[in-house]
Amino acid sequence: MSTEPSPGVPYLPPRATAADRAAAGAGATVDVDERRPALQLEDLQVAYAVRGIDRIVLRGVSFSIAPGEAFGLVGESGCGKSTTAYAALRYLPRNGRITSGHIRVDGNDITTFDKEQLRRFRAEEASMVYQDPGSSLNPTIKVGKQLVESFLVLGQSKPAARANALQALNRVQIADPARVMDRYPHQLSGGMLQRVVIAMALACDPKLLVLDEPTTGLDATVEAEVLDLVRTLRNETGAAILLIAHNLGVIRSMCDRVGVMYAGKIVEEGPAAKVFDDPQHPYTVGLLRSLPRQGRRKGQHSLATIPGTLPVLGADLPTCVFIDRCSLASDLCRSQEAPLVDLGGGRTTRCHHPDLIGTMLEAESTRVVVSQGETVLTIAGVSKTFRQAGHSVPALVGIDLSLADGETLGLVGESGSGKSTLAKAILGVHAPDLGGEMTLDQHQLASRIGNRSTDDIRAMQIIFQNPDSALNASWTVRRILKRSVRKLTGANSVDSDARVATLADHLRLSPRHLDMKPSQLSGGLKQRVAIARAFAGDPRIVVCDEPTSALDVSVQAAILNLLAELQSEQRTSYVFISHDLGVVRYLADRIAVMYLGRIMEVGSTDDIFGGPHHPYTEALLSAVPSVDGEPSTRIKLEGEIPSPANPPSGCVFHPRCPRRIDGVCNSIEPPIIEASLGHIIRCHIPAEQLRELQQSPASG
Amino acid sequence: MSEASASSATTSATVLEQADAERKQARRESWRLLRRRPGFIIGMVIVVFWLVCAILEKRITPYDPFTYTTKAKLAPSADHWFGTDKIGRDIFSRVLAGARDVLVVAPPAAVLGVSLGTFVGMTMGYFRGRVDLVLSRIVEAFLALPVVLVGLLVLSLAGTSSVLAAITFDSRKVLVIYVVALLFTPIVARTVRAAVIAERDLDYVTSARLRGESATFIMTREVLPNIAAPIVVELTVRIGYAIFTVSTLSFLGVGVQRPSPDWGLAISEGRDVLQAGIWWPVTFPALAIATLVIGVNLVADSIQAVYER
Repeated sequence: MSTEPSPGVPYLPPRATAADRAAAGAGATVDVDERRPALQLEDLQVAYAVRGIDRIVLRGVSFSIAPGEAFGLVGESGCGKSTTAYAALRYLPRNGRITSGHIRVDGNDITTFDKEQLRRFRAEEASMVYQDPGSSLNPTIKVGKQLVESFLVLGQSKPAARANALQALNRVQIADPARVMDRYPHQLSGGMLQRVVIAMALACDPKLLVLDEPTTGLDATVEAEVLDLVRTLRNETGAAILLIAHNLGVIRSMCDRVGVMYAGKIVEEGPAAKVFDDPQHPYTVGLLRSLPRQGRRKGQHSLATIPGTLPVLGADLPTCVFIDRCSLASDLCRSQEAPLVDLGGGRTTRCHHPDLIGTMLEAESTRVVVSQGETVLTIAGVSKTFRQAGHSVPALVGIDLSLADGETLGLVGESGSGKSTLAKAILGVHAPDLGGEMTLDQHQLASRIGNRSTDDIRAMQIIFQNPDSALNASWTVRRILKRSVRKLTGANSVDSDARVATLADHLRLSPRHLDMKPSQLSGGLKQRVAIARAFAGDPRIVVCDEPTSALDVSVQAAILNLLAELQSEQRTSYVFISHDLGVVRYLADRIAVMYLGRIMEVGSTDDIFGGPHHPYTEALLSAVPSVDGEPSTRIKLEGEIPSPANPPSGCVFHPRCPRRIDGVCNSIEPPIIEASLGHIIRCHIPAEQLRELQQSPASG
Repeated sequence: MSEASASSATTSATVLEQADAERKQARRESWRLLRRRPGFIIGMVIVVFWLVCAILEKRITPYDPFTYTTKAKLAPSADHWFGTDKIGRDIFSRVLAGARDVLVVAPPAAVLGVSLGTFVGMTMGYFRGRVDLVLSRIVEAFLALPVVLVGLLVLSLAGTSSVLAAITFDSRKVLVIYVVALLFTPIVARTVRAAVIAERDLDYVTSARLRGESATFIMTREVLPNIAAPIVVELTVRIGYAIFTVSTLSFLGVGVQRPSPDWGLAISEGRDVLQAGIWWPVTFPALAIATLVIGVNLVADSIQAVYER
């Protein structure tokens, strides 16, 4: 293990500093040096040994990244993106092996390096940033010490290393670096941790920076800031970047070129904007169509899905890798490997029929719009205060909401805004504070699940984010569903068997799935089981707590279609929590924007996206990187989300609000203004003025 | 859409067949891994040997372990491999037969202790709050006391009341089982509590509450199967400790009574002649205890390693 750096400790060292290099050439724009690629993969094949058998994961991956260029890899989980990233630094896990091909970094083939050369290469030339910054840092050592260590390894003296560490923190734009140095990782937010990790990765001033899902798990506003930082640093250092992300918007906004991976092969490659605007491989087309984008709504379109599933790890795929799921597949595709077609302009696709891409029709299915009926649920003045170590932490403050029959109410906001707490208060998992009132179908709801009638319990169910923990791993699917049916409907054993069969059929679970345990099912199938369970007793309201955020986009599309279908058939109301505004826009009829346990804005989906916006909503909307490359002027939020235990005075959003009025916002609670019928904003600035401000380009 | 999902179903069916096969393979794999560990094989050989002795008892001993067959205090020889004790009984026969006493008492004590501990631990972990607070303090108080001392105290004070006789079926061995089980309960409860706390915040438990399940149902049907692995590991570890504790109590004279060939008792009986250079009445029973405890621990370690893989 001594020569294998543990993941998470980015490797370092000096040579030319960033300043030297900046002085030497790179100006405001990055020079893309075409001569010697910063990273070049040539027909790279990687296999993982699983129980003694080699399973092929990368089937000949080739691409190159010029110095200073940013290259993105996209694709669904299991396609080999991360393996490619790890292989590029020869960081493969112990059972991984490069079976053929070459990796050239700055002209040197690192597949031939011995341990010492590899150590020096990782120390001096390349760095990696991982997905979860929390696990990249040692929780028991102060951030400053870990950062200083990155410089000590380069052979710097202690005082010099300390000075450089401070400077590195300044460079990643952390507020109050000296104090951050003295903190432990758990005392910093996710965004700050990722900045620290990036500072460590840049300690050696690498020529190649590999970022593996660097912003997954961060809030949109934080994600936008981290991406801004990476963009700035790239201009400063001129490092080549390999960015792995499943979020196509992130790739589009960050990368010059993009490679689309499927089953261990790059199926399409080209300039990011062109690939996303005019995809030339059936898989890329499918991927892009399954995204809820361009303001699409459930009433207009169902989302396109890619039929089938990713081939299993190590499957034998002698011809085209995408063949089983491709609508263009012909006999030619079944008999010969797909050729690499040069489309000009630096674009390539690996397909027999690139000329037929234009004929791939998008299913224009229209769905009956659910007319909204009477109010099912009202929430009036509901608060929830947690007691933590003797302090009271208000997680929800005076929530007023209503939900109509057949309606979807979207709940959005950053993590910690109280979305899930509200959902759990509605369901009776957390009993809200005394004083609030909830009614279901005009009768009062008991605050605790234990005091609710069977009918009330049956009326409200939930679909969780993570189907792995939502389904009991030691039960079969049949047992899970049958128990819910029996408990919720009171049906006898025979009737409930019949009902389970109907449910399964409805959710397109085949009978064989019923006798399996959750661990044997794919993520999408597990989520179907969770949905089936929620619908076991014909609920009136289903709370969906980020039901698709753990899933790939094509699976997400299928689940969103399913939810929309179930709603139009059964007039179920949804409380839909999501951080993905595209998804919320697709599914929700009305949206409530939450911040620090308060509702800042409520309105119809058109109102929320059309404006005038609450300044917080405005910032949230502008933070989302769009796959359509729509120009957006980012509104930066200052500082961090305050602790709910100690909320700011006046308007809770004022410390971060770019439009705050000093002397008013920080002392007086904002009034509720009605911008239009049913569109409520909690702000001191009048609606007309907000609209005017938001139509002119934002200042900062 | 329907066409798409049909093809999706067939593809996922093959995927699932594969998954099913892989699961079976994984189970075989666990067993194979277990068999590959030399510790597991050695441990099993030792444990099985003593089990056979316990079951067959007099049928495999060369002499009757209970009657004195020859002269007292004979050194180990071809006739008497382990020698004879101070009243002339064959030690080899008594060591083999002694396996029964310890194996009749220790494993049931461990099973009972783990069961009680699981019950207490689940109650603490599931309800948390005040229940947990009170039970945790009691558990900690018990943990602070030395197991053997408490056992000694309880067993020597246990009189002959009719209630006690009724619940122990008038058997000293059953009383020892109860005492050892109670002594193990707090330790097991702590382990189980930790496992339950990790499970209870998972969404499937919330989901069960949201369909109105009772706490008992959630604990026994939903949570218990998911914490089976640590409980099984705990059980194997406790059996090892139980053997040791039971033998210690016999040695102290509060466990199994004479003329049983119990190993602890035999060591205690042979102790006074040890200073006269007569080492065999003590050494062989002591080795027997050592091998059985080591054997059980080897098996327990292997199971733990494979479970936690």
